[in-house]
Amino acid sequence: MTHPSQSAAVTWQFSEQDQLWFANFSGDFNPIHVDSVQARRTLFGTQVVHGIHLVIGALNSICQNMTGLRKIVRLDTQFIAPVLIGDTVQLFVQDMSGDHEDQISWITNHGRNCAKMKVSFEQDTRQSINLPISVEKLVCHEASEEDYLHGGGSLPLFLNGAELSEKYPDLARVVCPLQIAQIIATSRLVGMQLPGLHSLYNGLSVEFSQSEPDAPSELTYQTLRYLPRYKRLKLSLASAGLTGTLEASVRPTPITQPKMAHITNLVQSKAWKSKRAIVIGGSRGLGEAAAKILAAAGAEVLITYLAGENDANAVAEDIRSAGGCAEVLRYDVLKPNEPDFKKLAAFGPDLVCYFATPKILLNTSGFSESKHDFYAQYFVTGMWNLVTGFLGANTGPFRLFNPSTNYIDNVVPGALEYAMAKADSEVLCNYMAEEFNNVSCCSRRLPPIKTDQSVSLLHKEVGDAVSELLPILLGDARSV
Amino acid sequence: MNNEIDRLTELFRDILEKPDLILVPELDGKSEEKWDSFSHINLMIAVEEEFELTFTPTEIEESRNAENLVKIMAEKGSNIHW
Repeated sequence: MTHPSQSAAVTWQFSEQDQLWFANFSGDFNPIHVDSVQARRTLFGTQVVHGIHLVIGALNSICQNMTGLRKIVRLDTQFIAPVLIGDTVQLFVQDMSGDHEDQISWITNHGRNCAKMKVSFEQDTRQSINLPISVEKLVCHEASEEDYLHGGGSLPLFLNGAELSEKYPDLARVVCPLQIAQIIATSRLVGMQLPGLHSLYNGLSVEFSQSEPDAPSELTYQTLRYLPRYKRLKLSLASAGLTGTLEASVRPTPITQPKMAHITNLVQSKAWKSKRAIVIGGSRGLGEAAAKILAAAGAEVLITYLAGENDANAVAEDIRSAGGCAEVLRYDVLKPNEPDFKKLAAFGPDLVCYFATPKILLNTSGFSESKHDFYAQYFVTGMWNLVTGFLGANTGPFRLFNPSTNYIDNVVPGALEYAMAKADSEVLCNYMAEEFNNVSCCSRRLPPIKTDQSVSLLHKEVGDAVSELLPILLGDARSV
Repeated sequence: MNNEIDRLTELFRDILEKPDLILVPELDGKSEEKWDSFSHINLMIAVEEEFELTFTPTEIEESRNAENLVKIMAEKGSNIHW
């Protein structure tokens, strides 16, 4: 879409502070934008930039060379792919001269379009607008299927003009404040109300006309269409001088693993009785399932986490409530600190299960050395440092379980570097088993398993963690 | 190729933002990077609207290559073929 001669109007990188700024400015505090711990359990594994923040930023750039007051006549925007916190994105504008009334702009992330926008302006004679600078903060609503099908209501409008003038002065100077309040209200609607907690904003299409001076300062909305098979909503919008629609999706909820009550019924063996197991990355997903299986089989378990302290404590509590033994420790495989490592070593493991994994994003093709190195830091360097650390601390003999991937045998698009780093980890395990007397290793290539890592907007049949891990942990991974 | 393939091609071109795209049975998410899960949902909704069809969740997943998509559309009564 980019013309060869076209250069980016602006390059952006959104920080944690930017996220919080827009959350306060718009009232959209959806955790996918502002809570790094909750966001790591979503489809994208990290915080996502508010789509409407991109629109506000793009409008500000478009207004840069405009003189006088303008009113938006029509705004169409589509959010094609997420922009993640820390991503470097570029805004391209068709014509920055300010002479054209219709403006097309798009935002790219590593050369790929992630948002596009078409906006039309006309001259405006500004009326005085009396909007509150804030309203009561909404609680992020976990909507039901019934809400998606028949949702409707209204949200009060607000605009903090001083904040806008400081951050986006050209937009504040040129565009009617009521329209800005209406546009940002759509972010609050999607993120906090409908679909609410588990939402993704797909696009906005609105037309503006002259508003009545005494029109109520609110945005009303109603479900126009809900397609359950796509989890996609289309809402009608109405506000003073505004009519239009927006599209939003219901994103998958975090994947939970079975409770101990269920797992203890499946695990009849006490194969790990009187043994000690460390589960690196045991707060959720495969690590959580492994911790529970081992505890059900009699092991005393030490669960480590990086960010999910509450998740890890919930796993340990579930194990203890079923009569098992579990402890929790924060441990960063990339930056291990001495006190935490000493606690790990003092535990004296018979088994170490190494589930430390960053979010696996299957969104690029080809080979990227930096992406490979990123994964290798977790799967190779982190594992090497842990194992050699235990050997140096004379923790005694232990077995290492390395969960690998069948993507090594069948590489899927975007997973090349991940699969390569996992293959490296297998080689490392073989080497360590050969070279170190006190270490034996078990690598197993697992298929895609239902966890936060494999969650998708599309229906996919994948295995469950307990069924995949149970035969391994009660079989090959047992002490030699 | 028939007219229905042309109509389907236009949807692909629009949603994948590839004005020169040529729809062939081999086209899938491996050969076309832009055909990811996000664009697939947009594509399937557009196909449903344009061809007045409704896909099941399994059909939506199985339609991630052009050959299967056309086959499923034909099975649903659309007069589409290569």
